[in-house]
Amino acid sequence: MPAEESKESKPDEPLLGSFEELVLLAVAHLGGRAYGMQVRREIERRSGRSTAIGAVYATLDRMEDKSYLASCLAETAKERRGRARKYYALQPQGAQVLLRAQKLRRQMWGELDLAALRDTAEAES
Amino acid sequence: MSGEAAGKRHENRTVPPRLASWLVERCWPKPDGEAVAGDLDEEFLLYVRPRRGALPARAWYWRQALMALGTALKRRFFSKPHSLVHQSKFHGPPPFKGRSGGAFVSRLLQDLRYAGRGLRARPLISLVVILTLALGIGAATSVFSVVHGVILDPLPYQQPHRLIKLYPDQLLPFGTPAVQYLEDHAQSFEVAGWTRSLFPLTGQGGPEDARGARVFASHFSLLGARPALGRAFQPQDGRPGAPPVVILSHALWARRYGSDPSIVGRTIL
Repeated sequence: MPAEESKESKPDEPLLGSFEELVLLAVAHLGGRAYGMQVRREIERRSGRSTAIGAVYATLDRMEDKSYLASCLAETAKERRGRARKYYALQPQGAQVLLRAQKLRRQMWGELDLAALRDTAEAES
Repeated sequence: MSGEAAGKRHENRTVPPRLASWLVERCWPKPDGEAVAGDLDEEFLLYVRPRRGALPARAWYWRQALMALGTALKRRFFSKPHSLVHQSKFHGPPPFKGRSGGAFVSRLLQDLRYAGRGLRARPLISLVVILTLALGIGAATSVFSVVHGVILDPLPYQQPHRLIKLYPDQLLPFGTPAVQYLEDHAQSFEVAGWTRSLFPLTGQGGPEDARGARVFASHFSLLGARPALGRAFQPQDGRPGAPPVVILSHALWARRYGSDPSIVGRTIL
């Protein structure tokens, strides 16, 4: 079955970088509450990776350029000294590219001998 | 007084560093600067300061701000410009307008980088394109040089736009008497005539036929030209019986007479 699936996928379909994938997944998890700080905290909470707010915004912006995300400026809060929040929402193209990434990972991991992989990792360390 | 100052210092430590916040807001391309600085302030006040304390929180803020500034500068000058207005399907307030600062520079740099990569990737085609361009530019430059010299460049005389050159032909034959008559009687214009001729030179440098022209005495005054040495022709030089005088071209003076300034007044024919 994986062989049939790989025939269906087009070779020129865009691939996500690993951080791009994390950002899109964080936006998807947050639903309608996704703005820069929440995306950053969501990535930290789920992956344990510390990220810079600048990197998050640069990636969000790039994903918006590719029409994977859409944004709007909305409500503010007292702590923000009157500055608006920029909310992001996942778009159909973003959802599609995430699903493709997941499928690709599944195909690449499928039938891999995990025990051999662990042995190699232990031997390496 | 000291209590007030200490209280103020403590209060300053509990709010986000204003300079860092201001730098982020100003340096990050609009309108995201406001959102980035707002996010930092919010996280500082809601999460970081309560958990880490005032000073570590301020250090965290500065670290985040400096990293954001680095990213902002990189994006401003080295990354693809943002699309102008997003066709957002996200329902909410109207989408923001595109950023303007640095968009032109970043787009220009991006185009240059793209062109450089394209040239490196296809060296043969690049060579053909460069040679074609070089030939085209060279040909265009040569044609323009000729057009400029022949048509566009003004004649090196006084009021060149008022000069008219007439040639005698079968329909309008005229000779020296006609030109002489016009020179003597014309009221609203000046006339000077010339005819090409060969002049046999002897003496210094051996015999030689020099190409030149027999001209009316008013020739140089009409053109507004003055010889570099000696004097121009004067009216009495054109009267019958006047001693013959010549004005040498610079080329002949330099070649045959070695640019000798004492040539003025000497007999050369």
